[in-house]
Parts: sequence; C-alpha cells; structure tokens
Amino acid sequence: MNMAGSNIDRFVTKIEGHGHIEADFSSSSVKLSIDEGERLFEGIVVGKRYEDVHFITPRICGVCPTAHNIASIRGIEAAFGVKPTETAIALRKAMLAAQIVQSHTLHLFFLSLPDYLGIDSATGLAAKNPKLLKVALSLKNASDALLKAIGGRQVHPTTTIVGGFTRFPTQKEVEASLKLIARTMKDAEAARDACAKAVGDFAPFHRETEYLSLDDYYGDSDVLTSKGEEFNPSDYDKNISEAVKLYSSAKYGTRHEHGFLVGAMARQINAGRRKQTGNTFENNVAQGEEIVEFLAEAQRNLEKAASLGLKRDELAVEFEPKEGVGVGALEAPRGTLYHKFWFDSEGFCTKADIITPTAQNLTNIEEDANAILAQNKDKSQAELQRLLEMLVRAYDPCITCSVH
Amino acid sequence: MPSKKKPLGRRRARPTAAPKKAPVQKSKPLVAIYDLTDCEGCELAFVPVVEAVAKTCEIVEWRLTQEKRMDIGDRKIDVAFVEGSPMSAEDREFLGKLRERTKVLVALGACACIGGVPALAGTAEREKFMSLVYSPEYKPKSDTPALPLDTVVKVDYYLHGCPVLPEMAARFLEQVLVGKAPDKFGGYPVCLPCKAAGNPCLLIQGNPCLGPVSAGNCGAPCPTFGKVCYGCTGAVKGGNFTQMRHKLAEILGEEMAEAHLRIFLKDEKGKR
Repeated sequence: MNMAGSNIDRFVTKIEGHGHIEADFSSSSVKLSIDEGERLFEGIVVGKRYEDVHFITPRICGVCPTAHNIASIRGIEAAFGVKPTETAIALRKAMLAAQIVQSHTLHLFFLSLPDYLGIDSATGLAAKNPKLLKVALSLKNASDALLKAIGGRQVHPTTTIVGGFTRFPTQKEVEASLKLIARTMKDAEAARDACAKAVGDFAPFHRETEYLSLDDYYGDSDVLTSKGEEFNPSDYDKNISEAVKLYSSAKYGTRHEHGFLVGAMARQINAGRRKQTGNTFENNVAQGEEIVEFLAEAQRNLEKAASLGLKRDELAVEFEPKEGVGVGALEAPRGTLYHKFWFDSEGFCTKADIITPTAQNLTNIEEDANAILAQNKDKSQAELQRLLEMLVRAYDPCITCSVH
Repeated sequence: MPSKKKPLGRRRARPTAAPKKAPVQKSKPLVAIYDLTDCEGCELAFVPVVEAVAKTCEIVEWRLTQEKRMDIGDRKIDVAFVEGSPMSAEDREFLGKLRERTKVLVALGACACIGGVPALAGTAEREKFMSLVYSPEYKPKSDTPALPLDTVVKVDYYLHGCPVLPEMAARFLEQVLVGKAPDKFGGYPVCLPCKAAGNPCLLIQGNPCLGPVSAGNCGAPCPTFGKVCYGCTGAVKGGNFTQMRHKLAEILGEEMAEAHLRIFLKDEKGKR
C-alpha cells in the first residue's frame, strides 16, 4: 500500500514472522521494520530455575527450537562449569545438524526457492514441481525423525538437560536413523543441485560486507570474521552491538557501526569454501550445500555416539548449581546464536541476554537493500519491490527469533 | 456460494468464462492457517501432512508459506487455524474479520489456547521487562500481554500443545473435515498414557511433574523421554490442583511451586 501523502511504500514479505519493508524509492532508502509483538523472553526467564530456562527458551522459535535449547544448556553449563560426556556432545551435535537440515529445507522449499522458480508457495510447488516437493518432504520428514529419535519431539526437544540427556536413543534407534540418513542423502544432493540451479547466476547487486561465524558450529571455538579477526564467543558483547530502533520490535546488530552477515554463506566463506562476491543471494546456494554437509555431520555424530556405546551411566554428569555467568554460543541455522545467563548460588537466573542471528543480520539487510536500489536505477518500482522482497527472503530471516 | 459471473473452479470451470486465477475447486473444503505473535512451531505440525491435506482440502491462505491469498469470492473459510496470541489492535481487528468469514475457528497450540509461554509476562512485568530489553524512548508494538484467542473472539475448538504434534493436527483435521466432533481435551491426565508406556513415575521420584493435572492427549512424550510434564496441553478436567500444589510445594517450595504451575496452567480451567 502507498501511504497517503508520501512516496514511501510499505509492503509485506513472506517470511517467518511479521515484518514489512518501507522503501523510499526516490531517495533509495529502505527500512526493514519488524512488527511482531514483544515477547520479552529475556525478562521471562529471570527468577526461573536453570532447568526451566532451557525449557522456556526454545519457545522463542518453533523453526529452530533445538538451537535455542542447546545454546541455553551450553550457557548454563558454562556458568556452572559442567562438562558433559562425549556421547552427549555427539548427540547434541547430531541434533544441531539435523536442525540445520530441517530449517534450511523449510526455508528453501517453502519460502525462498519459489521466488526463483516463479511460484508462490509450497502448494504451488505441489502443482508445478511435485518431484521437488517430494525431495523437500523427504528431507523434512528425515530431519523430523532424527530430532524425534534423539530429542523426543521434532519441535521443542524434551530429552536434553544440563549435564547431558535424560535418555539416549537405543542402538536400534540409532541404526534406524543412520539407515534413514543413507536413504535421504540422494534427496539432500537433489536439494543442493536444485538450489544451485534455481539461483544460477542471479546477481542483481554486489556489496562488500563482513562475514561472521563460529569456526566450530557447536561453539567450541572462536568466532571468525572474514576480515581476519577472531574473538572468543563469550566476548560477543565487546565485538558486536545491538541497537534499538524505534520502528522495530527487533534490535539491529552492528559491528564497527556497520552491518555484518551471519549464516550459511558466512560459515562457508570463513571455512574457505566460498569466494566473497558480495552477492547475498548466494546464501541460498550455500544453504543447499549445507543440507548435504549437515546431513553427513548428523551421520558422523550418530556413528560416533553408537561407537561409544550409548551407555546409561554416561547420560548426564552430576553437578551443583553455583553463582556465575555463562555464554552458550553455537551456529544456529541462520547464524551465530548467543545465550548469556547470570545465576545466583541456588541456580536461579538473575539476568539474561540473547542475541539471535536474524537480529545480527538486520542492519546488513537494510544496507544490502539500499545497495540494490542504488545499483538498479533502470528497473521499475514493481521490479525493485520484487527484488527487495527476494533479498529479505534470501537471508532467511526469522522474525520470531529476532523479537524474543 | 460463488456468484455466476465469477466461477471459482478452474479444472471444472464452465466453458464460458474460465478465470486465470483462483484455482479453487468447488467441492473441497477451504482451510486457512494464520499466526499472530508466536514461535510458529505449531503450524509446522501441518508441514508433514501437507501432501495428505492437499488431497482433502484446499489451503486458501497460509501466511507463512504463501504471498498471495486465494480468491474465494463470497465463500466462507471452512476451517481456520490461528496460532499465537493477539497483542495489538491490528491483531484484534484481524481476528474479528476472520471470525466473520470463517465457519470453524480453531485455536492452534498453547499460545492461542491459553496464552502460552509469552503470557508469563503479565501487564506489570511487561512494563518492567520492556525497559530491560528496549530503550526508554521505545514505544511497544503490543498493547496487551499475550492473550488467548477467546479473549477476543469466539473459538470453536482448541487444539492444545506446545507444540501441537503433527499426528494431533492430522487427526483433528480429518475429524473436523468429515463433520465428526474432534477429540476433546482434558478427558484423561498425562499419567494415563505415561503409565501405559511403562514409565517410572517422575513425581514419586521427587520431580515437579504436572502429569496428574494435565490433559493427556499428547501421549506423554515428555515423561516418556525422562522430562517432567509442564502441562502444555492444558488442564485435565477435575484435576486435583489442591494436592498438586501441595506436592509441588514439597518439592520446590511454595513460591516456586506457583511459578512452575503457571508456566502453562493455573487452575482447573487452564487459565492463568
């Protein structure tokens, strides 16, 4: 709709959550405004027992609940000085990997690929390319099954606790999961190829930016930046900042007063597997490649857990809550996720800070959007509007995560 | 009913004026899925069943996955699922309009049914938390706490859970589409499927499990996997809340007992 008396256009984008773009085409300036109601999770967890904290935080996002759950658990473990067993870590990694496959599949096939293929929705996909929908559903069902086998449910896990797990999958369940992964691998490859083909050489703009990602997706490493810097994830607050904007219920991440990018593309660039071209649409190609990579990663970790014997006495380590602060950082599907908690001596949360990948990307999305307008002056307003919506979706923003 | 000027079916369209858009088949019931402030975990329960759903009904609108609304003319939406909580005037207006053009309105998941986890922040807490999370100049987009849908419009059915499980969503849709009354929630406690699964009782072991006062329609996945029940499927009818509070107070202390119960429940009505 065109707002009366101005040349600013507001349009809504098909994304996870509620937000809209405000573009002033005459001055090439774009605002991405987030409209979701404030849920105030950082307040809700205050006063809660530590075990309720990691039960509550997954409710930030139904698309990546496992990432929030494990990030919280890792933050709590850091505060209490808890070191889980190798089997528990392998299974958490398998869950995180399955979560990335699940989330990328949903995003690519239901939200962003339809853009490149010129269809509107998943139901449109069913009509136009039923084979591709089969691939998507196979990947979704496989990642659901993996998360259910290890985590107890496909959304909002129930087996994960501070110190480890309440239950390990049985050898039989792990074998079934491994067979499922083997069967699904060809669909993962088909998904990867479909993404590469759909995006092709689509590059309506280029803009240099900084890419940030954890070297190790489980978070046992530094955060790397594409400018050659690195920092310990527990020092995130010294290296990235979040700004409140009055038009948005999500905060905007900046670094050196500029936007930066986290997510699949950043992970690949920092691992030396992707060149920096400054074309953010490549993020969807990177996500396609990650579907294969992380399915294989889930496989490796399940094999490892099975070879360690899935022993009952290694389920969870014992610990005592204590006063302290801890940061849990990991690579969620959309990029680096930080959970920081302060606890009193009895294990009650006294303060919380959560920085989600989408909040970190928001400044960069706006900067990219401005670049698109500046670099495509020959295009019509309708074409530009289309490009901006596609750009926002290429980032795979999760608005529910960004407003937590 | 659709007007004669604008037939809705494409595959079986009358030869005179076949429209290019609006591929709505007349015979299939129309289903829509919406979300308000939420985590979107419940509507994802429909993804695994999307193929089956597409055979039995027409999804006319699913905000999460499609940009364009299907043109349904004057027809009413047969079943509308709404996930999440209304938190603004815009949300309330949307619900009012949706109610008018919907035959069966379903509250999908804990947030829509009982306010869910975000409802833990009540009016007083919201003011306090708002200044913690945002800046003093910031004007909130929300003007109420996270409220259940039925504080704004009449709800026909409640599909509880945090999240709603895919098998529950599929069964519910099947029942409501064939005109059968869907399974009622709250007829039996979580303890029933939990015992049937042969689980040791977590409450007896001294854990704050809310199974005895919570609806068991979920099939008890949490205690089966070693985690206490938090009561996300709502309260069971006739649940003994007095004894539950007493037992919780023994385990957690009185103040924490109430806070624990309040994550999803409070009393027999499931309201907080």
